[in-house]
Amino acid sequence: MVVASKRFAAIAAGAIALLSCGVASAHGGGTTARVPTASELEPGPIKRMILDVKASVTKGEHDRQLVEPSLAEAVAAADRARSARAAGDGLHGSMLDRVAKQWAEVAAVVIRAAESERMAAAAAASLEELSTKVQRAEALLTELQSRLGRLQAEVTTAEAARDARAAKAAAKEAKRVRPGSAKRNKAKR
Amino acid sequence: MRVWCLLSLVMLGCAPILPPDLLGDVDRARVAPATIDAKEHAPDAYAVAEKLRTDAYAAFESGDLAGSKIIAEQAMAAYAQAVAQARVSRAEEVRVEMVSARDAAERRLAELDVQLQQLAAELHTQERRLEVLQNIEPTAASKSATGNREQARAAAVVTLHREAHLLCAAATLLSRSLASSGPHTPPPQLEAARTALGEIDALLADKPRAAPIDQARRVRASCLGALTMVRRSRAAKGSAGSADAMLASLSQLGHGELRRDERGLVVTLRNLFEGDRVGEDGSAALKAIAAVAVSHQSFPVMVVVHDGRTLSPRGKASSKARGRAVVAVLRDQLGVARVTEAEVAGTTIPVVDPAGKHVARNERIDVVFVAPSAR
Repeated sequence: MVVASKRFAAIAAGAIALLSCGVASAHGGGTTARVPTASELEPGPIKRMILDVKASVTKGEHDRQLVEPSLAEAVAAADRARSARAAGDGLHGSMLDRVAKQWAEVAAVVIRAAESERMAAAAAASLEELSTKVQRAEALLTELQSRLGRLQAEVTTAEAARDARAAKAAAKEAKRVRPGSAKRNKAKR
Repeated sequence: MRVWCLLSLVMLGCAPILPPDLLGDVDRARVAPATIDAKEHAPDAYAVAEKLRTDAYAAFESGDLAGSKIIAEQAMAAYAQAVAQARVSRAEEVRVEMVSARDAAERRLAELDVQLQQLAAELHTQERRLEVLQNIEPTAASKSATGNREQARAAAVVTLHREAHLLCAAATLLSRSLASSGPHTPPPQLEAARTALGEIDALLADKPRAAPIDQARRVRASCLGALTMVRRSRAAKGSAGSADAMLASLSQLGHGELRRDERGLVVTLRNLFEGDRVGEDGSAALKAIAAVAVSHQSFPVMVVVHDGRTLSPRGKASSKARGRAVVAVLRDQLGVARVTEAEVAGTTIPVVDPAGKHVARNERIDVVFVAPSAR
């Protein structure tokens, strides 16, 4: 009888241990079972989130590697949630759903970060292009200003030469038309 | 002994439920540089992660090992989300900064474009000016002349002198008109031209021995240059006057002879008077012309009275009276400020030979609309 009771105790202890391991397995601890793909998940908001993120990766032409780790975690957590619920552990199933949702959100934010970084890079490239144009325009302006300065100096010189010639001609004419000489000539006559 | 072995087996079975590393992983993730950065750039997401971490510890301490593990996993995800959120914030900050800098660069580029255009125009003007100066024929002084040649020179001097007066008057009138409609400083060339005009006035009054043909030509050129400089002023460039549009409107009236000259648009009218008063037909013509001028406010008006023959003092008084009468009709519609006092040119600018049989054609009234631009 004692032997029989001891044997039962040993079997019960083994069963508890196995159950613990089963619970742990349902929560994903050390399980090596095949993780399903996103499309194999049961329909629901988490699956929709995961598929939306995948669609936005394709649409935005982003590198899939960006979100694969997060999505893999999300899918794994969603699968574990399903397993937990199947084992009757609704509480941990809900908690694992939240984990899956959190990872799906991480993937979505990562895509948003990539979008923002792409836009920032585009703005930076555009700024660089404009800065180059500004630099060129400033250089051209400086060049034209110095050219104008040289030209103005040449114009001043040419004007001075013209004025000198005109003054010479005016002096010559003044001699010819000297005022009052007509009156003086008349008086003399 | 067996019981101890069984208990050990149970404990070994439970050991993988909460690997000590998982909460440790959360703690390590919490102090990673990217997470610390996320605390600043994504404080809300970071706070969520922190709360989950606290909850995981609380579950662990209350013995809910499986729950603690799951919450710790969620905390890891939340820290990852905070890090990604921080990337979004930083990228957005950079983007806003870049866009702002780009806007500033665009504004600067637009300013530079304007400056370059102005500079290119100025360069073009100076190049043209230099070209003209380099190709200018040296002005040789006229040699002495006698007889008919000297008489012809004297007649030409009278005409050039009068034209110089009219050009300087037009420049002064336009300058005043621009000053009345906004900030405008008369160009120094205008004062220089007036001085030169005063000098030749004095010379001619002193009855020179020979006709100062070269000086008369220079003075006329100075007055024309002054008018050009007034037109080039900023105020004139801003005025919306278009001689072409006004010419088209005046030509549709059919009153008088219409032409362009250096001053602007000239309407030559004949047979306006009954005695010294403007007749009915003349008045109608002047009013129609003034009506067109009303819609071209940037053109000041001058009236020039030309006589057919040299007049006695009484005839000269009559010419002045006629000029005043025309000015009065125009001022009725255009206002006093816009129409200057009449200039009496006498016989100095004939259109036909003053000794010929069509000498009556020289008697005329010129209504001059001084163009604010050379267009």
